[in-house]
Amino acid sequence: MHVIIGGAYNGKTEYVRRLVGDQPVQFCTMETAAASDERLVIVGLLDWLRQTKMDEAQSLQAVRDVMTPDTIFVLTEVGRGIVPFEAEQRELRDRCGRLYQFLFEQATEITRVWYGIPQKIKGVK
Amino acid sequence: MVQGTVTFISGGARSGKSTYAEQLLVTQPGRLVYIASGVAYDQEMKERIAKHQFDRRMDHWETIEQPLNIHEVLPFLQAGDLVLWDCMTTWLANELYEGYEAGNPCWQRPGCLEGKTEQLLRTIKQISERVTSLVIVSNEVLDDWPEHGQETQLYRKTLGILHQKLVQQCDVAIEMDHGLPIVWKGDPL
Repeated sequence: MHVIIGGAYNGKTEYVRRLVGDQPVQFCTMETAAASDERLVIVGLLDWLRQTKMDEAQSLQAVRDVMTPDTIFVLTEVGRGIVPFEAEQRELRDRCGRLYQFLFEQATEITRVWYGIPQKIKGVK
Repeated sequence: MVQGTVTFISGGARSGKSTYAEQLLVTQPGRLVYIASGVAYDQEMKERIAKHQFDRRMDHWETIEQPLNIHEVLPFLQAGDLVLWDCMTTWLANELYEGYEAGNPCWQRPGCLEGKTEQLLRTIKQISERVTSLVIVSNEVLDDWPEHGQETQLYRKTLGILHQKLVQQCDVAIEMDHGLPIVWKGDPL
């Protein structure tokens, strides 16, 4: 499983398009992810966590169920700023951070993208 | 035509990006030109600007105050110049609110920011065709919690897209991490 991470508007999705080239892939969110012959590229984890009715354990299980060795997850960095003022947002930020940690642990490859430039930070041969 | 080098340097607050940018230029032969986009609206900004000026006191810099409309510096630039622009984030904030006094800030005018950023990229290209070296300083502001008002959201998006285009267009791209330069593209001199 491959994780792509970077700040907002850093060209992460564009990088994934370059990475997969002509390979058939399906860009989707956790809501729209379905078993497919195509490789899944899952985006929008934070928005999904924000609106899901699942508790944390269930959402983690949902991610496990969707994940295959060739799945790509695109993660937007959200944890490097001021602590949000609202308790609800702090809770969501923590939940998102823990999910990211889980994905980092599971990933065989992690690429950080900085304004379109990739740097492999896990799985370096 | 000999093309000047364009270097993009981005980093967090107090990451040493300005100092590093200055060092890249003062070691070369040529006239040093400083394009300052910060405006001394209040006492704190005056002190910040004074600190930057104090840091540059040992070298002779021609300073151009240019909070908006970066293309207006073009007539002042000469062949061989070593140009530092500090910084893109304050410029974009200034442009975001341009027209505010008239009740119609840029961020509320359709297509306004897009027009300004396209013009900026053209200007950067024109500057690089004239001078020896252009170093552009900007800030890392896109790794935080994405809950902002509409104008800040627009600012982040515009800045991110601009950074991407600039990184593509420039020769050298560096992320400063507390004084440590991380080179993502090219070779700094």
